[in-house]
Amino acid sequence: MLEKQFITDGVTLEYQEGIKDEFTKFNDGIQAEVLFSNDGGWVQEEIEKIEFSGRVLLIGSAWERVFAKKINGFHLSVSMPVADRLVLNTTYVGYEGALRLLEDIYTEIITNSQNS
Amino acid sequence: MSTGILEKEIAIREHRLGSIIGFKGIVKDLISESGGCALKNSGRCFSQASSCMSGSVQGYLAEIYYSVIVNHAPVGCAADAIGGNTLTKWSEKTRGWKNWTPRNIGFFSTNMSMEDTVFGATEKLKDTIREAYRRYKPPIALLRLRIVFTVWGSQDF
Repeated sequence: MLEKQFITDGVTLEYQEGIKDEFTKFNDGIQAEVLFSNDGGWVQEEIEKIEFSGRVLLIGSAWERVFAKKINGFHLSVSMPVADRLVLNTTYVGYEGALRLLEDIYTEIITNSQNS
Repeated sequence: MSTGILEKEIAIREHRLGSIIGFKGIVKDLISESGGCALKNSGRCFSQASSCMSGSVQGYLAEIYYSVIVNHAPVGCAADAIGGNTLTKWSEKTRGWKNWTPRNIGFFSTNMSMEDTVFGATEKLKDTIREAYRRYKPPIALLRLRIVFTVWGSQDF
């Protein structure tokens, strides 16, 4: 079954196909079915239907903190609202941004695994 | 003191409290003149108040436990729910309730579009209320009719 990617930013129809195309261009044949909805509650219901083999990493917004705890997942806020982090001088854009994103993802996993 | 509960429109916060959001002068005068309603608000080019009243209302509603809020407005008007949610989680944790687990406030937006503001969005509102009930089965439901709705009005209620 194709993995699912949820996009919650309220993308208008004209840009949805272009975004879907980008999810076919990853290395190693990684693909995802892209689903657009700005209804976070619906996305959570869909995620709960999926059977995961391990602990889930939710890369979402601060709204998903409670949901991540409920399903015993890891969580990182990257999209608005980011009400659970202070960001002064950080970006996920560009090569250095990608490194920073990796740092934050693995910091969450390492910290959460030891403290939760 | 009259509560003005029957008023359709209340005065903006700065008028009610006698507070100011603009001051021309030096800090020394600001300190010495404050505290006695002696300060006069300096005119600003477009700001009437320090914040949208909606944020205060959102804060109060969010704190009502087991409530679900349906916000009948464009999704941008849901922005104040973010602060309401953050503060509610914070304050509930601070209280140290027994068996408390973090929760988000129950919040729905009808996501009114530009067309909806002209042609109405009663069906969207009905659908959103039904969906809110399906997901939460809330003992308390609160409906917020926001600026766009109140300007536009509806005969459906």
